[in-house]
Amino acid sequence: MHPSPSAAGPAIGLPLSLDGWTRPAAVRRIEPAAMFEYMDGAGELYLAYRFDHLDVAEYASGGQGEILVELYWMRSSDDAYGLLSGDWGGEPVALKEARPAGVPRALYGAGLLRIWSDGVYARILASRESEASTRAVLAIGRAIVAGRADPSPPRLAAGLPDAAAGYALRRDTACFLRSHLVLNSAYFVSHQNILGLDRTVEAITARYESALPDGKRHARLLLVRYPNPEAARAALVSFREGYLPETFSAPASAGSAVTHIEDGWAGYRAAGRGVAFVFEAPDREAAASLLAAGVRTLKNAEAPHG
Amino acid sequence: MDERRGVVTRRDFVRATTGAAVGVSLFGVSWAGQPGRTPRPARVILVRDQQVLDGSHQVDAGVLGRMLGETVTLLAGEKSARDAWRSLVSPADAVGLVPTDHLNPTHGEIVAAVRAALVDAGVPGDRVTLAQGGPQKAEACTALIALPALKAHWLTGIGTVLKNYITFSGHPSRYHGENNDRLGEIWQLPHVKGKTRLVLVDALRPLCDKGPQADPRYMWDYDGLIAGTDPVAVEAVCLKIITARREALKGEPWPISPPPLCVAMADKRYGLGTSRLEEITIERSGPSEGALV
Repeated sequence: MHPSPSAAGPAIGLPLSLDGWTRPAAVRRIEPAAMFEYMDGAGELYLAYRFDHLDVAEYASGGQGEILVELYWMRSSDDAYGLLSGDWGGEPVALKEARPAGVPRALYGAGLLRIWSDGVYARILASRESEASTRAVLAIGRAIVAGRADPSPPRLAAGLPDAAAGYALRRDTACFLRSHLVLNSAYFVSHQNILGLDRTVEAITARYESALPDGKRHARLLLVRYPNPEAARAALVSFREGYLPETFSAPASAGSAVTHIEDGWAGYRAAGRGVAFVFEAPDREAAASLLAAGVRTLKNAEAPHG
Repeated sequence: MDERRGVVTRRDFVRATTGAAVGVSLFGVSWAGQPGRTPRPARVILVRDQQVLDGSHQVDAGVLGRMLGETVTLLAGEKSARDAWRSLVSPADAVGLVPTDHLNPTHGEIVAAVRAALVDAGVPGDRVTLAQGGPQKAEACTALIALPALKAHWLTGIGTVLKNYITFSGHPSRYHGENNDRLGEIWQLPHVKGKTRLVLVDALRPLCDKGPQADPRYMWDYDGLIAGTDPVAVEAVCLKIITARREALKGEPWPISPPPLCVAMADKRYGLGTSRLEEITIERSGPSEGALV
């Protein structure tokens, strides 16, 4: 397989054969313009991140089904992480002897292995799950990650507050994104792009749940880091117009507000080029605490890398 | 919804949900309540047989054929499958079969079984065509049989019945994202309107999460066919099944996101059928266990 000229990481050496499965020597290269043809119109997910190209290899076998390997070469590790973060379900698997700390980098379930490996997001899918196909899928996964770096998660993701005001982070709901389409897939805010999200933006959303015995109360935190403060201000105005128009009648609400709406307390708090948003908080205090914790995360993300 | 600005937000759903009758939506209840709206009673047929798929999810054509016959017989109220098909189409019709060919494609065995049943009912084989594609495909037909497979969709919430005709618009991308609420209008286009004689959903092995590629963790053997002549009613039942499956998988509410706005709007805005479960009578055959509706 050829190295990517623009995405992070070295070339990936997929085996030509293993345990009864073989693949053609050449892999199929899918450029962005051809994504819709490849996915029958469903390529928006990958194009919603900073996508470079896709390499596809198909393993055939004599009676054991096929294995499809898709390597999505992204412009950064953060983008590959974002694709994995859309669904934290499945069984975490270690594909390297020295397993990187922190969140899972590979998840397996029902014949599908999904991997975040530096700038690559990989999907390896066995058409027929069996012990043999599972071994083969994992072996391909190990070949994909071999020799590749394991960067840290995006700073916004790593810095998400673990808890605020008695509400604990549900790590399995934390989704890193750049697009309102992906946001709506994780948590519906508006069909329109009222938050001004695009590929120059980085954002994370996650659910927080009450640690109290009733266990039923929850809130949603969304942190967005725009390319500059001007973009953040424009996006905040757009959000207020589209989602919280009542805040325009409140004094001193240009940069921060918490208000009660139909499904609980919602609000926002701007910090430089970042904005924290909260939805569905059960009370004002929880909303304010989550926003304050979110702003700390946004500020930490601005700090120079140590 | 702010119709003037065209902005649809979470708040719109919450507002419309409060106090509404039971139906389907983001929160599991209808937001399409319309005081004074004339009721639109609808029938939906659900036929299941756990023998239709084997352990490798391969279709038993014989079992499927019996299920199909039972489905149309129940729907049409006729004594035989042949009479049922004859009540739906005539030998003079140019019949277009409209399966789904991506994400969770319609099983080829279902397309083949429908084709064989039509021929058995007297429609010449050369007048039964595959009609999935651009507007000209629908234009060439006098009768359409929608054959979508049951699945969620990451841009429209659900991608089963209403979305199945998206290519008939000639501009599929115009109906994604914020415009998925307009999917119902495709069914009202002049070259489509009134042609659909049957909506038959392949629910043998549905997909309850949204893609854009199928994830086998979210597919399961439901072993069903779902049919009706009201596309919105059939979609509403499909949505109920997918929603129930998602909650069963997670053990907690797991709303489809983005919300499948197209279902309620096909009812409310386009009058294409009913999205209200209380207006839908489900007639069943087969095991109730795992029916989810």
